[in-house]
Amino acid sequence: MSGFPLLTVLLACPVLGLAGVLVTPARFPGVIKRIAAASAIAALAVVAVLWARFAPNRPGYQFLELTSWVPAFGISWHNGVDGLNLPLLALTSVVYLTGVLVMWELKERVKEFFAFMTLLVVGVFGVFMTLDLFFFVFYYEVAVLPMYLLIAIWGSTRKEYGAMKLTLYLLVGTALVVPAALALYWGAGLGSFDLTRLAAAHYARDFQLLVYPFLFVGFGILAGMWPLHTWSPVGHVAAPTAVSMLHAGVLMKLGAYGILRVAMPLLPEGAHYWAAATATLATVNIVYGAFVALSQTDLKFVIGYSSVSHMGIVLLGLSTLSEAGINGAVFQMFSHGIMTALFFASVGYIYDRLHTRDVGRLGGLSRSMPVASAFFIIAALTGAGVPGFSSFWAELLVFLGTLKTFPILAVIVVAALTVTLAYSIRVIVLAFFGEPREAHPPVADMGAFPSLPRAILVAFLLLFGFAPHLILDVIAPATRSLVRLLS
Amino acid sequence: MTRWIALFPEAALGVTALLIFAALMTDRQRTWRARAAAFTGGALVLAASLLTLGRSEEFFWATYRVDAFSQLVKVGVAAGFLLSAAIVKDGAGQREDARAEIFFFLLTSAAGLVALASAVELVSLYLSLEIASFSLFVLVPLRDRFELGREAALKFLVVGLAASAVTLFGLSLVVGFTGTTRIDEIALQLPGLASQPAAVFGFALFLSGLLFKLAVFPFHFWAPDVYQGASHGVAAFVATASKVGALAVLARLITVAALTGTQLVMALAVLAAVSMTLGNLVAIVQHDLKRMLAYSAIAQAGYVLVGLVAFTPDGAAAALFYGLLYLLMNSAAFLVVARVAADGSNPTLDDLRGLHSRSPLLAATLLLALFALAGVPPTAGFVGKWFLFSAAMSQGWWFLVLLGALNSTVSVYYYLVAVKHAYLLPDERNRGPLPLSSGDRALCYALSGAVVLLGVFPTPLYQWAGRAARLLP
Repeated sequence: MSGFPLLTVLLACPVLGLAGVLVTPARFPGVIKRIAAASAIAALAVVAVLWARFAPNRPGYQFLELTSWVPAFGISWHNGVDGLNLPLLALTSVVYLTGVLVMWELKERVKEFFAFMTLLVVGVFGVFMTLDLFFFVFYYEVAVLPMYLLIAIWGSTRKEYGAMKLTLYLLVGTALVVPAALALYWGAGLGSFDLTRLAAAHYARDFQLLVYPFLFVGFGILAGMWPLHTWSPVGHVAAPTAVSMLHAGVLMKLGAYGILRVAMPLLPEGAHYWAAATATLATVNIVYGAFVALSQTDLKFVIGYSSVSHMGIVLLGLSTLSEAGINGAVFQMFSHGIMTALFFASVGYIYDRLHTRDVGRLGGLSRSMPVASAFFIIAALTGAGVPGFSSFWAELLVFLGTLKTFPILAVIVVAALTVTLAYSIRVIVLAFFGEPREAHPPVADMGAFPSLPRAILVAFLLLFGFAPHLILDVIAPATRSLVRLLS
Repeated sequence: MTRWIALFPEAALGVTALLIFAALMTDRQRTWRARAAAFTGGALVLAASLLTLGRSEEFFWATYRVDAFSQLVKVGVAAGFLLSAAIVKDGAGQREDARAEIFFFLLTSAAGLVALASAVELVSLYLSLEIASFSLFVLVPLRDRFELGREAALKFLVVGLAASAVTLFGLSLVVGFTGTTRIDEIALQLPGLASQPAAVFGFALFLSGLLFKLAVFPFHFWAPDVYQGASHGVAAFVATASKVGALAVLARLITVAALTGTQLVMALAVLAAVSMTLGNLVAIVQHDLKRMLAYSAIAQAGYVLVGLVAFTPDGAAAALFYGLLYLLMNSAAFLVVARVAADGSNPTLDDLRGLHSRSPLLAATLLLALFALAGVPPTAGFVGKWFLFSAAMSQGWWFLVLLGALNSTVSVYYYLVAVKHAYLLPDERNRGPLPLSSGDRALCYALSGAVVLLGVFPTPLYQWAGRAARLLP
């Protein structure tokens, strides 16, 4: 281990948060919320230090930590940061903090909620920082399981069904990843789960072609890959607000990150061989998600399917195996995470007040709750790829990458973008303008405190919308070395 | 004379037997006294096993071997005995006049398991196996107020004796072909016998006695009935300590007899696949908690076989490691079962309703135990399965690993249904809080803590298991 173990400290933030929540008696919900918020603020501060001290142009991983964990098995405590996971760590800490703030009004079983939520965050941070394949799968599953309880206990519409469906789908994904990970371990014959060493090992071509689909599909399920995406809208609709935010905002990125960090660098020939197939699946995601979103009436279902569509853009960017495409994919992961968190945070507020999310029963919200409406509209415009918000740049990069490698798919995707615009405009017009379709009791608009987390999210969308180089400068060098490895 | 120190655990067992026997002679508070004697003696056995962990000796014309492997198993058996004694508590569910006797017969069964761990000769191995089983044949029928208990007891006895007969027949074949009953000498001759169908068949039949104890398909029929029919503490012992003992011997036999390449390996692989799939699928439809745990145990035995078909020291180490973890997580599950139904009746899923508000600690223990059985991190079940599957993958059994991983997903379904009852569904009968004694609370914390700690930091225990497996003759 060299230097101060900043990444372990980052992981310790939610771990200590979890411990703090567990030892606090359930009769002090206020204390529990403050502990969770403190751990989130600490995590954000650590990520800020990481970002400030990160040198984008230095090759390889930074803030490395390496300690042997199970020597007999070549498992090590190995963490590191490069341009690909730093934005995702930042995303996690932002969504974690805003998620805690959004749930400040929670009254029911507060202790258990924040215990499961911090456990979930431990898993997410772990996946994004570890460079050991064993710990990668370990954290990956840590992040999946609390989800069941979070949705089943605190969720809404068809929560038990949604929670069980989501859990089983995601675990089928890991059931494909586990054999593949063990095959990678024994195939390399290095006696090590170290991802950096495994990436240097060369696997036979047949092996690569066989194992790559296991990893791509296994991780892809969590990224909402068509046709195994159906858990995602159902789960999002059922989940409580902060869980939707974490889930669509961060957890789906774990899947895409798994492809980026494990599947592609370890099995480059497999990635090339299957690129056309995965790009086609991703395009189906984009088009299909957009069209289904167009026909939904529940606001959360609209967001759920828009997530399927937007995650398609990430998968497409990865499938191009080009610099522009992968840059765009990583940028899109960050941008979509913030945007979806904002989406769910706004809808959550509206649903808590009006007890409906059906656009057929809403209407004219921009007059009764202008602030809450503004947040939703900003998220919708970001999703539609309007310039000035971060997603514009991300999607543009993916299209540029696709145009070079899969020109036909690029044309289809550009056409699908108009559908994206259409469903965004449709829900905005139906829910927020015109006359209210049903009489609702007068409700207060969002005050200053609930606006705070949403405003933080908007600030990030605008910041990277106007200054995309702030994040692209971090991502691009890492992408360049990845693409060199792939060719 | 210092070499006799290696037999301290056995000596401690003898002392414990006398202690419990003395307690049974008294008139008042027999159960309480027998329980105290069992705790004292069990702790002695555990301490003696830990103390002799590094020893390596042979006794009684080299039929009884003390090595790292046997001592680690003895630690497991002693821990299992202590945990089961704690779960028995006042013996609720057992016949009034035979409650104190539970501890004595659990001890004799544990003695059989301890001897089993050290037996390196087929006849002594068979005898210890029978000692371990016969004590349980006595305990299972003594269930109170449960008609199906008799049927379970009879089934256990009949299937057990049949398995025993099969084992003996296999033993006779093996002895006939090799002319010896010593495992290491048999192992030397096995490569030459691999082409002799009758010899391989004999060896397979011998293994079936152990597969019966582990409840591997097709020797699993007794498990659901016995789990359901026996009182909670007895069922816990059958499900934990007894499994660890059988598993250890199976691991020893399989490692010593390098049978790779024979049809026996394929047969074991098929048994593993069927056990996993059958156990998990049938567990889904169970409503009785103990029956569900029984089918889950059949599936778990399948996972362990997945590690053992690798026929490598890694596989044996993973199996031993998993056996010890299984002891902890299954004991935690049985502890919850026993406390939820403190009157000794059989709890169903509905009895779990509202547990999170009746007793948050018990609910959390159940949550961790079930997640561990399902193999979900950060609990120990995840690393345990990872090592087992890794051993199988090293020998190219990728379809077994894939099937095992998919089966884990199936198992998550029914474990989550139980979690759902405990955490989500309200208690319709409004039974009020469920008080726990301070001993039970401590046990809950200890088991939960151990399950999580070993999941995050398995290194020391796994190193011990690995060393034990590599030192096997």
